[in-house]
Amino acid sequence: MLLHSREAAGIGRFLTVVLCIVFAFGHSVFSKGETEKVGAFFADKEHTNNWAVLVCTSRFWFNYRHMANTLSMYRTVKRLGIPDSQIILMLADDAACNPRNSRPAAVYDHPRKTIDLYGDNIEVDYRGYEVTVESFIRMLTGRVAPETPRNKRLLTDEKSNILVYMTGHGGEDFLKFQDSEEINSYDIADAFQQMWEKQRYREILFVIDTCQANTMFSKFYSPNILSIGSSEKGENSLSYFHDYDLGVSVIDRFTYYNLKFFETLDMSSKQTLADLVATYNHSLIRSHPGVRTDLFSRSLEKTYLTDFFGSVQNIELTREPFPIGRKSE
Amino acid sequence: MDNQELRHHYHLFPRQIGEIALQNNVEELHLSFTQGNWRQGSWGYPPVSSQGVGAEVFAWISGATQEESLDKWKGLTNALSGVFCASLNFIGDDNTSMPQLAFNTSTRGKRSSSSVPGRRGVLRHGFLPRENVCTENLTPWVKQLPCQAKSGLGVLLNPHRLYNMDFHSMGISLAPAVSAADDGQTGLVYKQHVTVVLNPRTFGLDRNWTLGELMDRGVDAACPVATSSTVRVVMPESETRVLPTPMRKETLGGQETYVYDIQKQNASEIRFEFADSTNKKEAQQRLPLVEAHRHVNGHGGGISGGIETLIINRSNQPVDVTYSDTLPWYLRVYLHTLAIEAVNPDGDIFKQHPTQMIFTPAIDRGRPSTIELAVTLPANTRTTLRYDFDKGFIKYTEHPPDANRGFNIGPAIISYRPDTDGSGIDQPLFCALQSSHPNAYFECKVRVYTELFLASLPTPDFSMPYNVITFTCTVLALFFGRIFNLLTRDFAVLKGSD
Repeated sequence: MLLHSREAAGIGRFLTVVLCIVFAFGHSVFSKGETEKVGAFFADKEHTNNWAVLVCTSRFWFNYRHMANTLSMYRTVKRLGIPDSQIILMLADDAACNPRNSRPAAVYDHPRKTIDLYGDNIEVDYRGYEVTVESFIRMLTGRVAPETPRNKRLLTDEKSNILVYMTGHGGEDFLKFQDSEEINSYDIADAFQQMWEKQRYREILFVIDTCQANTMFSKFYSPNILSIGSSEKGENSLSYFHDYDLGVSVIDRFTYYNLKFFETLDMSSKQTLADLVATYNHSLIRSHPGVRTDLFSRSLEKTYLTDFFGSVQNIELTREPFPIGRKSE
Repeated sequence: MDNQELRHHYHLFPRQIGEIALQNNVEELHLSFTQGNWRQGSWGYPPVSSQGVGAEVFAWISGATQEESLDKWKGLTNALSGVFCASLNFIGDDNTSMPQLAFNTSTRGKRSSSSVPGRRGVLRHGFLPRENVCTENLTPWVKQLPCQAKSGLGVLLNPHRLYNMDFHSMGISLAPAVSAADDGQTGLVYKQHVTVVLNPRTFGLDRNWTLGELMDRGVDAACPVATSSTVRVVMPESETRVLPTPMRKETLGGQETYVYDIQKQNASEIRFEFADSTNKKEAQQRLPLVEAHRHVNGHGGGISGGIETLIINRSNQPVDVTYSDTLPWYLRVYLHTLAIEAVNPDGDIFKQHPTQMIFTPAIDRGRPSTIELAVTLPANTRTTLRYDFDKGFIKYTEHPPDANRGFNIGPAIISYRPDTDGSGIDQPLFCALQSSHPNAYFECKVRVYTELFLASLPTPDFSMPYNVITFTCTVLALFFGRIFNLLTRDFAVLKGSD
C-alpha cells in the first residue's frame, strides 16, 4: 500500500520510537539475564577447586625412593594444572641436596635419569623435622597455630576435591613417621571425619603406597572418600629400580607404574579412574593394589582423573559485556 | 615507611616482604641460607658477610613492650618460613639471642643528619645450624626478582649448578638507607644476594670457559625493567684473560675490576682464559686479617666437654675483635673456666683478658646462653679462647627423630673492623660496594663465622617403654592370674546324685 510521504515519515518516526523503546527495554532485560547467568555460574557449582596433600614420611638416604614417590606425584599434579598455592608438599628429609647425592638438586625415578623430579621450580611446605603426625593432622583439620603462614594451611572448603597421597614405611593399620612415631588408620579416619563435619572437602581421593597399605583405609567412615592402596594386608610393597650411581632404590613399583600412566596424559585428558585402576597389573607391581569405593558416591567410570589430579578451569563465554565494579542502583 | 609509600614500589619491590616487614615492625632484616665451608685461608674475604652454615635470621624490631617485640619476632620468623619454604618457625625462645657487640648496633645513622632517626628497635638473632638449603629455598627467592628467571641475570641461576658447589650462601636483606645524593632522603633498600664457589672441573670444564657454559644457561637479554644490569669481574692476580673487553675498568677495594653492562653485552659470553702456567700455589689474595676456627673438646659420649676457638691475627697491628657465641641451654657453660692465651711466632705465651664481657646465662628451655667478649688480639699471634661446659639431660620427647646424630651447635661469630684508613686497600668487597646504596647504619665490619660442631647428648633407649609394657603384661597374664586363682578359689564337694 502506498503511503503518502508525510504519513510515511510519521510512521517512520513512530516505528523508530517504538524500536527504541523495545531496545531500551530489551537492554535492561539482557543485563538482568547476564547477572543471573553469571550468578548461576558460580552458585550451582559443587566442585570449584582441587588441592593436593603429598606426604613423604621417611627420613634418611636409604629411603630416597619414598621421596621420589612423593615427588612423582608432585610432578604429575603440577603438570596437570594444580598450582603450588594449592599443593601441600611434606618431605621428611632432603634427598636432592643431601651430601650423599652425587647429582645435587636432582631426584630421579629411573637409573636412566631421563626425568628430573625436583626440577627448577619446587616449593616444599613442610620439610625435615616439621613433618610429624601432629602437624599432619593439624594441617588436615585446620587447627593450626595462628601464626602459621599461608602455604602451610589447607584452605579448602566444601567445594574442594583433595588428593591425599602418603608414602613411607607402614604396616597393618599404621604408618611410620620419621622412624620415631606412628599414625594409625583410626587417626586418619577421625581426621577425615573432622574435615567432613567442618565441610572442608567435597571428595577425597586417598592414595597410599606402603607395605600393607590397604589396611590404612579400611577404617574410614566418612562419605565421599575413594581410596587406593598399593598392597593387601600381609603383603609388602616393593621397590623398583636400583641405581648404581646413587646407591639406592629410586622408586617403588606401585608409584612408578602410576607415574608411567600419568606421563601419557595432559591437562585436557578425559581418562577416568577406572582407566587408571585397569592398568594395575599384579605381576608387574608384585602386590595387589586395592580400591575402596563403598564410601564414594560416583562410579569410577564417571570420575575423571582431572577431578583429582588436575585443575580444570570452567570457562563459559558470554557475548555481552558484564559490568564489574559498583553501580549506583 | 608505611604502606602508602611502599605501595607504589610493588612492581619492583616484592610485596610479600614489604607486608611482612610492615606487619612485624621490622626496621632492618637480614636472612641467609648457607651450606659449605668458606676456606678463610685460601679464598679471602667473602663477598657477603655471612658464612654460618644453616639458616640465619636477624632483625631489628621495634615494639612498645618487650612482649610485643617478642610476638613480632615470632610472627616474622613464621612468615619468612612460609615465604622461603624453610623451617624458620623453629626459631623460638630457646635459640634466639640478643647480641650487643657482634652486629652494627650503632644507634645513630652513619650520616648523622637529622633525617636518619636513631634505631628504635632491638636486635634479635636466630640461628638454625641444621637447616638444609635446596631448590625450594631458591624458587621463592628467584620469584622475587622483577624478571624472575625469565630474563636478565636471574636466568643464570641454575640450581643444578648452584648446589653442586663448595660453598653456597643465599639470602636477602632489607635495610634503611640514605640516598647517595646526600639530599637527606631516606628509604628502604632490598638486596638479594647469592654467593657460590664452583669448581669448573666438576662440570667438565678446564681452563677456558664462558659464564654460560659454567651455569649451563644462556642469557638473551637484560631484564627490561632494570635501570642498570652489570657484571663486575674482580680480576685475580694470576695471569687471566677475560673477554670481551669490558665497558670500563674500576678499582674496587684495591682490586682491578672489569665492569660489563648487560644491557649492551651478553653475560653468558663472558669468557675466562686461565694461563697454562698458573702456579699451583693459591694466588695470595688479600687474606683477611683475622681467621677463626672452633672445635669441641671432650669425648663424644661424655657429659662434659669444652669449646676451643683459635683466632689468628695476621696483621702487624693489634686488632680489636668481639667474640660472640650462643650455646643452647643443654650445654651448661662454666664461665669461670674461660681462658684466653695468645702465642706469637717466637712461642711466647701471653694471657689475655677481655676488655668487655657480656654474659647472658641460659634458662632451661627458655633461653640460650650468650657469651660476648671484646678482646684485643696482639699483632701476629694465634689466640686460643677456651671454656668448659657440661651436657645436660633432655627429656626423651625433646630428642629429634634421628637422635643418635646429635645436635648441631651454631657457629661463633668474631667481628672486627678492618683497616679502613680510607685508602681502600684491604677492604672487603662488600664494604667497597656499599658506596652505591649506603645503608644508614652501615659500618664496615667483618664477621667471621667458625665451623659448627656436633654435640652428642646421652640418648635414652627409646624402645624402653615398649619393652616395659610387654614384660609387665606378660607377667600379669601368666603369673598373676594363676596365683590369684590358686589363692582365692574355693573347692566345694558336690553331693553325689541319687
